[in-house]
Amino acid sequence: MASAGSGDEKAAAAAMITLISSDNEKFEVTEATATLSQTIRHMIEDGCTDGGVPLPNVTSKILARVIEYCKKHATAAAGEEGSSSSFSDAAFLEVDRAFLEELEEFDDAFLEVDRATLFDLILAANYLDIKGLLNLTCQKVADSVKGKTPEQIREMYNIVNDLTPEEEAEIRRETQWAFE
Amino acid sequence: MAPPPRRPPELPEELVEEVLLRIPPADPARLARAALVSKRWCRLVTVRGFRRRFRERHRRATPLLGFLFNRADTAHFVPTSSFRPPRAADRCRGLLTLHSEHGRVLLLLHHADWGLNDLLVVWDPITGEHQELPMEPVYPYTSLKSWNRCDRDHLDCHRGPFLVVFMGTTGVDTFSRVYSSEAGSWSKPRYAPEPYDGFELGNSILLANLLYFKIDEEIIEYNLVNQEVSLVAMPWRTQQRCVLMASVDGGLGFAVVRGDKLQLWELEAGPDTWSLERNIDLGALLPIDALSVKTQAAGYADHEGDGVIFIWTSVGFFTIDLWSDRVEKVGDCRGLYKAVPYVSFCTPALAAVPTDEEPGAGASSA
Repeated sequence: MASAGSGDEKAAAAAMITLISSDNEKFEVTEATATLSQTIRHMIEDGCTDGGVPLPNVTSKILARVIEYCKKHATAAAGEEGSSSSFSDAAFLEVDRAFLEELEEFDDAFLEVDRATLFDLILAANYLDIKGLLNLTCQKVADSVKGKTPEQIREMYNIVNDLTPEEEAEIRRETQWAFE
Repeated sequence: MAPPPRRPPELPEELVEEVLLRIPPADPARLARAALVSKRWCRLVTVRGFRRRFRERHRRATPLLGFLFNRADTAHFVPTSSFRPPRAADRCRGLLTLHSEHGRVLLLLHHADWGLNDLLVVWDPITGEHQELPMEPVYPYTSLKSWNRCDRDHLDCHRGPFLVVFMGTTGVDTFSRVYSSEAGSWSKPRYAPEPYDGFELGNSILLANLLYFKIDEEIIEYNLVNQEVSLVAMPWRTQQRCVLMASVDGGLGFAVVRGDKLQLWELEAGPDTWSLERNIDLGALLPIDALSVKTQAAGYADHEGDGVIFIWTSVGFFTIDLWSDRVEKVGDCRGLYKAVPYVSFCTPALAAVPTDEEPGAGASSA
């Protein structure tokens, strides 16, 4: 099919990458979307993407979310590059601000997930080396423990308290001010 | 009945750290509570390496944890963050705040009885350490300034050595003495021929190797490298309090309230040439009852280039962020006009848990 198209279409077709989730679901994405992941970028550079990129650590459910994030952020990045030459500075700043606001709204909505999914996204962002997504998801967790007691944090994130009562008493004594 | 929500998977240690590194430095209580979650979390936030990475990550945002002011011969700490100094009340009774730099506070115990020496105390509100300096300068004290000699980035100054520069006048000449925490003693006095007088207690600033003290109508410049003293003239005579500060370029500046304006002046390249850098309309920023003839500049905190000015008013202290012009009321306290901002990182360090993840890292001192 690619061989019948014009040069442009060929380039576009060549720039598609297939990602394969741990449960064997295939996702076709543009190279621009895929290369937000440094891991995939390196695979493309090394020419190891023929026949698809297997991602054994990422389920289809999480991969779909990650691709959603990358598509949005790749578009925003392309938009910024494209618009810089065609607008005056003021108009560019205006467009820039609108982009950023839209992106922020997208990110906020994107993070409206349960805690298990949030952690899955952190693991995927780390494995795929997507800096923006890792920052976004880790910041969300850091924000979520604001004002929470240690008991509440353990409950939220499924963490077992393995501190001995003596250790706990010692830590409490030295950071007493934080609990008043 | 709906199934219970899926339990979050376990994160590897380096990702838990990525989360903990993103806790805002202005909320140190959140870090302290994180230390109580589990052994792993505790170790992660208390190792020296975390402290260093946390400070590096937030290096542009050293937080303003609070400020000190003096009332009835006692220094009071007013938090502007979730940080609370341990047992502050009984530590500071009878002590006056002079200055704060690099996470330490210089306090003065002033005896009302003549003949008794004053006592200088260096206090670390985070570790609670209290160090009394052997008091040798028996001349009438006039102005003091502490300076911590620490690594360039101020990333972990609490354990570093420090200097305290003491300056005063005998009535005939001006002298300076330097206390070094490494030597544990004061230097011999060094004299300058003029008897500069009217030191304003604690109104001083350290810019690179130059220390500036505000006196009556001038500013004394003290060179830490060669101990030489020179004078900078103020642009005009004023009864209003002029708070020494850093200019945008890191040079000498001062803030003063004139009428309903907060003016920021900075020293030009030429000798004693000042220029008015900003004229901020306080009427537009402060509540109407805060503006009076007594409203004045009370303190200055350097925030990695973005300064914060403290304003004393008859209804309390306000801070003005010079970068955003954001105004915040930070205390109802009356007290004296001076506010000594306390700017520092505060990450938990516990004796209970071994923290030597990276032996030797950051342990070297200049």
